[in-house]
Amino acid sequence: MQLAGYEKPLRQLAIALLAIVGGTGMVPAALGQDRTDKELLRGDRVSRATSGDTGIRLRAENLTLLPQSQPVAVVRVWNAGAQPYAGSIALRAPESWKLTPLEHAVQLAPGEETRLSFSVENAVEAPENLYPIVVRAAADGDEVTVHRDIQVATAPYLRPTIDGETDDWSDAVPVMFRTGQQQTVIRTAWHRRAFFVLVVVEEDALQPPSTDGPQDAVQLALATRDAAAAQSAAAADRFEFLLVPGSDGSARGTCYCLMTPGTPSSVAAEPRPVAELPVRSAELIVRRGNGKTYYECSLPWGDMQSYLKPAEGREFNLSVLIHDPDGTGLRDWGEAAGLWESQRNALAWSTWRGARWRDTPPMDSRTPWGLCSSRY
Amino acid sequence: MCRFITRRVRLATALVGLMSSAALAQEPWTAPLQDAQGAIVMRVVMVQDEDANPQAVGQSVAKSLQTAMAGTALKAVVVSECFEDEENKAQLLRGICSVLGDDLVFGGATYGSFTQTGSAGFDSVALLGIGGAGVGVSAAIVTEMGTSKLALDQHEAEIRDRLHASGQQLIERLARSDRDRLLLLIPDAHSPKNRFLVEGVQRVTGEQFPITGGSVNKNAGQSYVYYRGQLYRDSAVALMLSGDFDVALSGRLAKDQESVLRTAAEGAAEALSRTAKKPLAVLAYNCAGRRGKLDDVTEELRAIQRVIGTAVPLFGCYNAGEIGPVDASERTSDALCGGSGWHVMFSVLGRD
Repeated sequence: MQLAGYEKPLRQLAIALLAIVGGTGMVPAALGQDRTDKELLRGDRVSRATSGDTGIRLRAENLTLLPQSQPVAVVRVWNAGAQPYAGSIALRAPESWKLTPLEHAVQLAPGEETRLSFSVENAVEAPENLYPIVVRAAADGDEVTVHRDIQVATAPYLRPTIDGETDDWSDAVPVMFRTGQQQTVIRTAWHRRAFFVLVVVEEDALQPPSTDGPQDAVQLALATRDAAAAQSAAAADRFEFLLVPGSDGSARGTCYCLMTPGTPSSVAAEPRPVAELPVRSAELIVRRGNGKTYYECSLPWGDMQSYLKPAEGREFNLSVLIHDPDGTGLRDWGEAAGLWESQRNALAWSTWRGARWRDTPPMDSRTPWGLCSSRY
Repeated sequence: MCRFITRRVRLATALVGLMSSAALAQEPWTAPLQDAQGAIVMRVVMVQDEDANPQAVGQSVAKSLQTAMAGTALKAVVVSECFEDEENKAQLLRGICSVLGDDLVFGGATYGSFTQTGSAGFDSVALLGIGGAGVGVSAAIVTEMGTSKLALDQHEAEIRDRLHASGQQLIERLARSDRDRLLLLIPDAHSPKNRFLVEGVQRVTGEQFPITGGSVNKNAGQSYVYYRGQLYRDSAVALMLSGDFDVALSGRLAKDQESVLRTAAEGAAEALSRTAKKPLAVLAYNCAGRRGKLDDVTEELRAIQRVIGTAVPLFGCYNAGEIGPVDASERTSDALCGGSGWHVMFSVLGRD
């Protein structure tokens, strides 16, 4: 690799130091990729023992079933390079896990992506819902290793009451991520009649709706597991909702439907007034307490029933954006879930009046989630 | 004073009566084999509730079963139902028992059923009727197993010990005969706990005795087994079928759509190939998780029907754990059967 000037060596040194501080213990031998920098900063720890970058990218997805239900661990492998890739992908998991198979052989054309499954047995539930995973790609002396703490992103069969009290959510699985110093916790549940979400946003204050300024809200997207990516020429393939606090100090908020499957994707780019789009059968309570804002919502399956076909073991996509314009700004679960930079997609989320967006588009609104039986 | 004593005596008598009644309801039950050469009739019916009236549905499905049996006396009825919460389940059972009587009604709450007429989920019930002079049925229940609230990762040793004891106790309560052919187990013990119950059973039956069955729905508020028309939690029901008939078993595991469809066909074909006799019925204890992998839940049924045809009675249900021959990829012993998850377990009962 030709070095140009002094900038590259300085950047390489900085990234090496980051890798060591990040705990990999391995100094990357081939550096300089923007994507690698961002992956390091977002929580993935990437290291390479190689003389060059083959362009292979790895991501361990969150589990969609509880460990005791013998889930499948999924690894996405993408050949971002210009040459075909042929190698093996192995997974290293917590000690008690029994994985089948131990590795997969892969052959990927340039630009091709695949999804590899590893059946999991003997896994036990971690109290903090974090499971350290190492994915290793090996080919002809080149080795790439990605460390990531995955979570279980699943909704157990449960029927909480939407009343602002959260003690009936204790059997739901908490999915957590940080934006700066602030934590967001997402719990989900489902029942034959509705899907339930509890989003707990750590923030200094709640910015309620106003006629002239940005406001706090939670934006949700639900799509089938094989939903197509949003494209301007195609129809949307998701349901999308906006959870908005009450404007009059009332705990009762309003849920709006921003998008339904079949709607032209171009509608996502139009900042429509949400007042025209309420979901009357949804229930939403938004309250403050302990430096946090609690959004507790039930979404009747309704039209989503035939689209998502809720059932135990069903995999789908659930993505979440937290609008905190007076605090951290936009919090993007897709970033925390490890989506690649190339998966940012402005059309994946609907804009709306009162939203404040970053200069870079949010991540795609397709992050894996599951529906499962009750926890015990 | 006399009136006070009399009232107390009456109350005590009533309590004793109630307790005796409850105890009697849990007693082992037998409808013996009468004639080894006699008829064996197995029929399956399924109804979906359209009017939010579980009791009426229970009566309707029970009458449908009587019609399907065409005059052959029932010896046992196995229920697979997916109604919501105890009240609706109790109403359904009342409806069924009002037509068929309490004593021969067994089964459990599932995630849905599938028969030759299709697949059904919420608010549906399927019945397997077993009758004829040529079949015997012996039933027993074990209650208060003490494991429904225990988590395997925290209480494995206790769960194992309790379910080993429960499984052994359950089979020791059954009336046995030298013509016993197939054991149906319906426990409130989901995968992977169910394997310990089966191990307990095998302490009595031996490891090569054919066993099949499914763990009941484990969703909060939905976990019930049915024994002689009554609902029980944290319990397990066993039905021993006896007579002159073959039993052929298979079990297959799958966790993605393509494998679910492939293994459904493979498993059905393997079970069918293991008997040269004419099939009387096919039982399929299937995993609810497998169903969750399908874009179209009827695809698996069609895959099965392409193998077994559409004439033989098919009783299928979705469970939280399955009992039968464990897939080779997971097998850890030489036992013919075990308790597991993500399986479809086929049993083909056949006779010349």
